[in-house]
Amino acid sequence: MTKKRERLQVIHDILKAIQEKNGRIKPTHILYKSNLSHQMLDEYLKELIAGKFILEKTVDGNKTYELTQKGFDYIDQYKLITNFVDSFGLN
Amino acid sequence: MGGIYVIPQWFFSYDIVLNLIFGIITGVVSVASYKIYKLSLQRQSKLFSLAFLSISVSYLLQAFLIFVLFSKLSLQSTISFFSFTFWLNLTLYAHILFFLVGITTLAYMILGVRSMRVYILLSLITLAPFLITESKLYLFHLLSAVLLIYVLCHYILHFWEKKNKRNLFIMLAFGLFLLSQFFFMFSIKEGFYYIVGDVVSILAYLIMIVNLVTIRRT
Repeated sequence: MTKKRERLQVIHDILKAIQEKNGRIKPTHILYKSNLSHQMLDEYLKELIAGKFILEKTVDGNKTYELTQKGFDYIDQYKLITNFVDSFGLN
Repeated sequence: MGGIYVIPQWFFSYDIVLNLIFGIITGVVSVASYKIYKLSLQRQSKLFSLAFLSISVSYLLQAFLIFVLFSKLSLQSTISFFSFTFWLNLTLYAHILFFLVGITTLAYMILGVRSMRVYILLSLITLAPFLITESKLYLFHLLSAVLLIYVLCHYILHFWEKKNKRNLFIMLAFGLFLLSQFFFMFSIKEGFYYIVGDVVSILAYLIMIVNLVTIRRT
């Protein structure tokens, strides 16, 4: 698997993990589901927040992450994204 | 004048239509890639979209250039020779600029580096020789061919790695795209090659658009 494919796959795994928890999840659950190091996860979460795929919220003093519509769209269109990226050699 | 293609006069109207088709197809690829970028924020998709947007603009300008030529030759318009040559040169150089920027952006995307300095350097190396050469059209197709050889190598390796039908089609499309540049080079002396170049180009773009349609349908 190529580096970029891994990136798209990791993003999908993170967003899917949030979706499976009814659209809201704690960072420890994402860490467990995505199989990333703490540092890598932080980088991905920052990127996803900046890209408006997820929202960071604080509930009862705990950090949680919620999917935005863009995050749901990414999951829905994941196959199209990977097909396009693979076909046109964009990875 | 940077040189002119020897295009058979009967082919002018077909060439306008073909260039419009090339412009539309590359425009569609650019929009599709931009949509993928908006969905995924994947940088390569953005660069691919920008590259094809630039190529699309170059074809639309080419269509305009040939339309102006065609009008001048068939309608005997009263435009002055100076004005005619000025607009012809301007459009031709704009076509060359946009096309080369597009192909350079593709090569930059394939390089996989994140550096505006590298992009500017690549663009300057590609565009600077035009300042000193008389045979601008010949140089244009030669540089396009060199950059496309690099792009094609990427798609050959990509196909080798993935070994699926879609990658084969895209590799073929870029192979034909490269081949067309050689025909356009010969067309500076012999008009027949210009027609062959256009036919090879339409095959390349048809493969590309069919590939795009199959991606959307799966």
